[in-house]
Amino acid sequence: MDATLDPARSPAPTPRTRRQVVPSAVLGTLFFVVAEVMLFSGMISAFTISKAGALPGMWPMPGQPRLPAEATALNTVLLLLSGVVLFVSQRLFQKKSPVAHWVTLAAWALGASFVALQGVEWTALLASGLTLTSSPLGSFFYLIVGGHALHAVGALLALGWAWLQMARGKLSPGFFFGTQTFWYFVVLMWPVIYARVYF
Amino acid sequence: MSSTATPEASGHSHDDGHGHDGHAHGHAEQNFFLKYFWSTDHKIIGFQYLFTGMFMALIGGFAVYAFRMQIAFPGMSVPGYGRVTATDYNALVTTHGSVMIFWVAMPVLIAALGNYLIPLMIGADDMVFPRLNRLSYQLFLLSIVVLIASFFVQGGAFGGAWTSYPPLSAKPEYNLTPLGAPMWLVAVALEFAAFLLGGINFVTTLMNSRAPGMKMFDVPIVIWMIVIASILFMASVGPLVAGAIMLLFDQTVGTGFFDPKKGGDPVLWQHLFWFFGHPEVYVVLLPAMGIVAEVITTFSRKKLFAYKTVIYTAVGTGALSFFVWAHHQFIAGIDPRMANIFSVTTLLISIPVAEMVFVYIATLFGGSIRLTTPMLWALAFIGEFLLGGVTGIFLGSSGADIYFHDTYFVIAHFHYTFFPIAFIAVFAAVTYWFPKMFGKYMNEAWGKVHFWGTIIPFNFIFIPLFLLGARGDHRRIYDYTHFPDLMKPGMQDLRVLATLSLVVLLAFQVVFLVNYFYSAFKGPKAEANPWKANTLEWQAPSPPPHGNFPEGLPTVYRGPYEYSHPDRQDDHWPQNSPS
Amino acid sequence: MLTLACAVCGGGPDPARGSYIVMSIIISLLPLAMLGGILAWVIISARAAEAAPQKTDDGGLPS
Ligand code: HEM
Ligand SMILES: [Cu+2]
Repeated sequence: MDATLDPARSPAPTPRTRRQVVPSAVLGTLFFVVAEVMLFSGMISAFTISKAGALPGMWPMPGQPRLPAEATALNTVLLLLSGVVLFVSQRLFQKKSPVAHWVTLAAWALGASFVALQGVEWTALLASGLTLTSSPLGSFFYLIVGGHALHAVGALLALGWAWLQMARGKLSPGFFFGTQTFWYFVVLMWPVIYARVYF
Repeated sequence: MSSTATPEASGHSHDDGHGHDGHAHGHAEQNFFLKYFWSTDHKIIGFQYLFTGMFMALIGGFAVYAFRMQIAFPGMSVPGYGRVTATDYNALVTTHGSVMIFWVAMPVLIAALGNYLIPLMIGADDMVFPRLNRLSYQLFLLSIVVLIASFFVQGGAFGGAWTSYPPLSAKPEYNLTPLGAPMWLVAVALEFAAFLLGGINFVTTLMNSRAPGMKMFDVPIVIWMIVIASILFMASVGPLVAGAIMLLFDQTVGTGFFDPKKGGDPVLWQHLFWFFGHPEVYVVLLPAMGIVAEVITTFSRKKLFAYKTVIYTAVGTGALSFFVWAHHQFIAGIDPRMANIFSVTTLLISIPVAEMVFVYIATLFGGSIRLTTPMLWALAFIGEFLLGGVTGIFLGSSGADIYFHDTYFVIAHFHYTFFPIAFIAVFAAVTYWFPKMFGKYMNEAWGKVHFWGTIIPFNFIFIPLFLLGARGDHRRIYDYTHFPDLMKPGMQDLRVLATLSLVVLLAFQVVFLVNYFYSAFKGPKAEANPWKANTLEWQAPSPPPHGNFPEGLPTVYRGPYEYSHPDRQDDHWPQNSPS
Repeated sequence: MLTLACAVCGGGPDPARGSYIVMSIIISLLPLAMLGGILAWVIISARAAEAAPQKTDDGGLPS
């Protein structure tokens, strides 16, 4: 390719990588996040409408357990905290700080404990009779919260990979910023879900 | 995926230092399989989408042939298909609709043209995320495998219409396709994932890979349109995917999201579907409008009238398109207050669309028009689409729609919009960019035969359907002889006329296919810029080599439509020529 | 209110109808708000990039 550049025609060879107005990885991830936010708003609006249309006394259905809103508050705090810690780690990463990867690992651990606690909560709910088909609330609960958990697991896999690469000093900023953008989506989507579905 | 071992590594990494899609430099020779099936080159991926779309059009075309024959001649054994049972009929209608929209219009207009044209027209050597692009096509192919497999499973293909309304679609006891229905949903979902990846690529590439000197307002209209359409798609598809997951659960694990008996609400699906469904019609319309803009400026040697207005109009149309979807549900039991709001927004959205048409007519006015085959297609698009848009206004008035809903009037309306988009505009594009894609010319005389052989029967199919719809002819009926009200004198004659015209139209497509493939191999050699057009793809060799611009990426000095400039002898002024 | 002429209009319990309208409005405005946000961010970044001195990012091309 380089050999075919005619120096007479273009005095300064065209740069192979053009200046990115905004980082490609972040822009790409942002559009993906737009689609994801719309996915969740579709589910949440369906939930809201079904709940509003439920016959009196049928939401939650008699005999079905209440959702553990208090216990989940702790989860929520953990997740939000993980978002903040990840933000700090990005700052450190950009300053090329040697501790950046430890901070990233901390964010990952906070996120992972969120998912683990959710899992514990699910087993309790399943044991007390709230299943995917037991009632509309159950269907929506597992649909929405489960969908969020899947996203969290996927994002944690990417974040774990980012941590590994960062620790080895081989992390590409694009991958990190893309993953980070996606993790912020997972973190910020959750309070909305929590506020709508658990109360 | 290792970035150094793959032989297709292109040597043009946009993404150095930005990880997951950068790949190594090198020019290894590629074997046939790697070149055509495992390539990350945007042109090859564009061709993959184009040819897959053409293949799917054959399936969609065959389906419509079979079920239209049943309507015209109930109970006959259709040559090439056999007897069409009621179940077959439903499956064929569903297959026709979903294939034409999701597997023909979308892949050809957005994915094929977007992939082929975006890097070439903005002066880049490839997409920003080439491997994401390859993954996009592979997902798309997988979606087709699932769809085609669903034709052969026990119970047959899904027959609940392309809109897949519950409760029919939700319960195997009703639709009798315990496997076909979920497979249809999975195929659609996979296809959406493919286009999501493609759309991300398009937007990022347009933002970050434009040639030096190319400002946003130097970007050709067709690229703007494809990118705006991709954004619309990405922003509207979420709720439908949510609905699809819920429907899949209803079908397979027995939840009751859309089942009133279990506390669900079937109308909810319609909202989730049409929230995507209406923006979707603009997702395919905008690229078609873009194609027409390129073709008419080139063949009338005139600057596009009001370039920026077209872009702002497209953005405005896109924004408005999020506010009209419930016009598909006027009589589905929605709140009358909502029906009123959506009636108004629906009528509003015809304004920007009409405006775009006026801009194109103003562009043609006073130009030196050359009636080549692509130009004929582009002009036909304007005329035929106009009819589709105008009849949309009847349907958008909620009062009138109480009568028209679910009649053949609706069918004729959306075919007067979709056929111009998915076929007329696509034929304009295919014939216009043919010399670039293959370095050969298509035969003009046969091109015109195909043009007239398509346009005339097209009108003879759908004008009868308008007439039938106005007489109250209900859609989704398998055998009209059971309905004396719909067998009044003349009605069956109109159905027969429409069906026979369809057969003629389908027959003329053979002319196109022969002309296309013969010319691709044996056509006369074309120069790089046969139409004397300004945009960058014509400044690359035909067909463009890997990397697109062997003399180095171009620098852009002006907008794309500087035709017949008063200070110049030449009537065109390529975007990359310094003076 | 021509639409009231239609027999099936206005079905469903009232709270559900209200929440349909509210959700419709929210879900239609949401994508526009998000896309508007991205657009604003891109425009601001582009302005900033123009103001800043040309930092050539040529991927280590030998010059
Ligand atoms: C000027 C703008 C348009 C207006 C005002 C309009 C209005 C409408 C209305 C009100 C309906 C519902 C009719 C009913 O079911 O009773 C409808 C149906 C439809 N329109 Fe349009 N439309 C417009 C443009 C388009 C375009 C550009 C396309 C395609 C690219 C399109 C495709 C469709 C389809 C596919 C349906 C029927 C879907 C179905 O029920 O299967 N429309 N249109
Ligand atoms: Cu519509």
